Amino acid sequence: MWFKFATKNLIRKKSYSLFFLLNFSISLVAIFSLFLFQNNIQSYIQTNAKQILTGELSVQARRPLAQKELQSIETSFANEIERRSEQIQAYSMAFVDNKSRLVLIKAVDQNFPLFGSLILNDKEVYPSEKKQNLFSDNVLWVYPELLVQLKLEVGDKLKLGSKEFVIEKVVTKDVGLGGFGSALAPAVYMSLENIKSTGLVGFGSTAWYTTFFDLKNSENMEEIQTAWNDKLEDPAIRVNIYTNANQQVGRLQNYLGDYLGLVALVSLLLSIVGAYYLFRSHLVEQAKSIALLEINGAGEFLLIQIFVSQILILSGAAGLISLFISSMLGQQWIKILNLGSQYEAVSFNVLPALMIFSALLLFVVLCMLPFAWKFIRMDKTSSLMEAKTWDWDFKLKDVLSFLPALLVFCGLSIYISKSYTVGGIFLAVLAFGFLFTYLSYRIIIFLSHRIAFKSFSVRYVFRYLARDSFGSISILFALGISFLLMGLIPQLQKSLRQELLFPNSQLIPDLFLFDIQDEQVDILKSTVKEQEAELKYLSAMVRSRLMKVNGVDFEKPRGMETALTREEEREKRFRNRGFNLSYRSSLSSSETLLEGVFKGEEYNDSTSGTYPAISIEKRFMDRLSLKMGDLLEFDIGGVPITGKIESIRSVKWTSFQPNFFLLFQPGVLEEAPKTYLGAIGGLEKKQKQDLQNAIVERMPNVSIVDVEYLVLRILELFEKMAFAIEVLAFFSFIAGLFMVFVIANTRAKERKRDFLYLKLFGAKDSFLHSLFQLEFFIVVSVSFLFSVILTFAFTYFLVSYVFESSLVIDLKYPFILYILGVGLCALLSYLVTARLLQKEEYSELLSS
Amino acid sequence: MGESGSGKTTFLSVMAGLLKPDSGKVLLDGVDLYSLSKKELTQFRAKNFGIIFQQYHLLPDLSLEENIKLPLELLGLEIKQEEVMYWVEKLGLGHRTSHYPYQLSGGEQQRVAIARAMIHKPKVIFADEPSGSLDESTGNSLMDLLFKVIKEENQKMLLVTHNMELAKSCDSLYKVNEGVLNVV
Repeated sequence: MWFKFATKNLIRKKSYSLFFLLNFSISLVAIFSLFLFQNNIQSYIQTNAKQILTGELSVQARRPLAQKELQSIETSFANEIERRSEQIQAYSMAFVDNKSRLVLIKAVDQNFPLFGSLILNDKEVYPSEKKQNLFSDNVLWVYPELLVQLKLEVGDKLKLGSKEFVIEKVVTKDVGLGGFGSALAPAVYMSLENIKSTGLVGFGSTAWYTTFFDLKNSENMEEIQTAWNDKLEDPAIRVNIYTNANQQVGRLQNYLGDYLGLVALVSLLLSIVGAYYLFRSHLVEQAKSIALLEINGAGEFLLIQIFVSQILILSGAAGLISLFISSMLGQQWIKILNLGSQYEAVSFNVLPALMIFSALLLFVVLCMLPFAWKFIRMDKTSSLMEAKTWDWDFKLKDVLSFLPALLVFCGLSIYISKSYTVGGIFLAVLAFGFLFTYLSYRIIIFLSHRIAFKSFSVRYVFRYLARDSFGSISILFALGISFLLMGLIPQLQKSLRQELLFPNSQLIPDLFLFDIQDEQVDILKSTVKEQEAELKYLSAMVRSRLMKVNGVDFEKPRGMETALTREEEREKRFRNRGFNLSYRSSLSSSETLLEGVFKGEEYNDSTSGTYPAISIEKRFMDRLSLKMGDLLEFDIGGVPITGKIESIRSVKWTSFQPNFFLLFQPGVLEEAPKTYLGAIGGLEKKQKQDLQNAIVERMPNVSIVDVEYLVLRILELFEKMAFAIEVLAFFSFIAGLFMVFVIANTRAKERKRDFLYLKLFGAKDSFLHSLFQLEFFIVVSVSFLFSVILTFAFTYFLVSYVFESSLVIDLKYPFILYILGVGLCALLSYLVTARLLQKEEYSELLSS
Repeated sequence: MGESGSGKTTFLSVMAGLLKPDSGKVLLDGVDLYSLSKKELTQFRAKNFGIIFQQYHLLPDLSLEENIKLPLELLGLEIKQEEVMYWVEKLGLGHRTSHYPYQLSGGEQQRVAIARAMIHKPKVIFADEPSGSLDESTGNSLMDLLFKVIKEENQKMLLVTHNMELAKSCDSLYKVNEGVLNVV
């Protein structure tokens, strides 16, 4: 019976059902399309995991594996290995005539790739039956960008290190080549024999040595990874497995997905607020029917069943509609983000979609239940006798009934962002948003009570806004958060662009140099001087392995899949690497001392104390859970060296100066095997190219990064992500506006009699329109004001603490947003009032 | 007067310019109400009529005083504070000027509605069962007050009621029976 009542009631209340459905559909489309987008990427990575890794397991280090380590693999795993392939990746300068460019060399053996393939420019696939010449002497395959950058063609010659190559083919696609490294420098392919003869690989070159394995049994990869890790104890040796391929290639998409998820969550939150308003109004409209049910014996449980089934029917229908629309939009995300057509063809799993669907339904019910419960406990029978005023004031007990929904929302935020920090910041922003909303509302109350506005309209509108606390707070919150979402990313972009492209100081160099050998320092200095430039920030870099922290072995992480949050993932990644150390006598202009004393004087064990001092970068310290006073033992070329953390620094990484997480006190590392990093600034365009060519000619092993090019690539990447977030933020903006429309429409219905009255006493239609317009103007202006304050505060926080940069205020964009907001709300209010004023049903005012 | 459903409220609506009749005319000072445009009718009605409803219908966002001067505000007429206070005192509401409708009793709300209907000196007052929502004693004293004020202000009122006692206080009495108006 109750289900029949519930459904019939929904059919009869068409306008409520339709608005409820639309309200949820908008936010659910955002959530589902995002889910499908992430699902597409994950499915692609899972399906192509072996091709992405180009093996089932890989062992990677910044050095060739030692004989002992190779032997350990042989004795322990020889029977499990089907095939293997060796690879060296290194950065180097490629040059021809008067042009040079940083490239990523991929030197491979005959077995490359164990899985997957390369697509070549003539549509050929490598490996294939047809004999290909990659392993002939002097042959090079290159990515097409390099041809463009150096104005070369297939068949032209190109020099790498001490060897001249002929470009034989162009590689148009390599599934196994991902990440930002390949975006920084185009890839070139050659044989292992060829790279050895370039003289580029040796001590001091930035190279990765990887062996890929095809295993006889590739089940239980996590266990296999653990077993291999146990045999290769050096934390600087990375054992990767194909089942973790998403950690290597999908990292950027994962982060992007996390942030997009949060934006989608905002649209869900706005829909929930809209639904509250609709539901409340629906309950009041149903009061007499419910009262009759009660009189006829309907208990609280039956009424709850009716309300819950109505919510489930409507949100379930909204979910199904959204799922259908999203299945089409999910593909669009791939296109919008220009992630490549490979992701588009993948179909999605129904089961996880249904799971997320069910979770959302449960969340919506949890959100609505307190309202239904409050209404059930109200006296409804008196509404049968007389006109009743409904008291929706929520006492502490009522507020507590929202706790389960709130906890689920907090859980969802952390689950979606996969980070306590990001999820926490997100919740804090929403909490601040709510606090600001409440303060804005209090200001409205203050103005309406304390200021005797001369204008009747202003007085009337302020009074109404103050009286309808729930509606006013909801609209202020929806508009404020929508403005915040829309304004935040462009503001952040502006600050970062300014920081990277037009720095206040001239700190940012033009060229960044690495792999400089000890004996090349003087040659480099003189080469730079010849070109009337200056080599700055020359810093020694010593490779090391962290062995112990406070006498306890620094453990190698086991398996990425156990990482629950992005923070844990990052910590594991940081643990799983060697460390670059340096030393300097004073902090550079891009460093700031935060705690302790920076020791720049020469270390002398008889006068300076037991251990040499270490200065550590703050965030690095936090990620590895280190602290002041910790003793760190490093293995540097087989020699153990222990230092004590005596100072904590912050580093402005966007300065692009040579900087290090760990700095030793001078007098400790000088004799260790090392290379140098350096930077050159203040160069004209032509001078920059000439200097780069001169360095490459004399020292072909020195790698040079064009900082301007790098900055542009970083910005390009950031803007791509920002664009995706903006698109979704716009979705939330629409959800916010729809919510405003829903509330305005419901409010208008509730005030129908008031408006008829005003008309009866001589108010013109234009006057009534202006009342609504004024109401929206006030609400938009107040919410905009609080959103602008929050936007600048939050941008300042992100820019200062996350990007360590300074805030640049852009007032143009917020102004445009404000005009857009006022315009759209004026339109909405006009539509709502026009509908209302069309009918003059004065009979409603009279006795029957 | 008339039974429930006889058409007395419909008659009042037609007379007050709220409901266009299927046929016939309503004239006031030679002006045919329903020949006016929607805009003109709104203004004409607001200027010339005052309406008192059974359910008081005060605007909840305005105080007692503001509700009383509402017609003056909307018609753009000069608001004289002494005139507002005159009505406030006349209807015995002097101690509650800054109160809002939800702070007033039913009788008090209806007294505000009477003041609001009369403050702009309309030509005719229409009253639709003004005591219908009040208890007998409050209703009676309110109606006494209404008749007294109408007399003092020399106003004309068209009252709809089904209370014979009340009807007897009027100068003329008409009865609506199945949509037909008869002189009693």
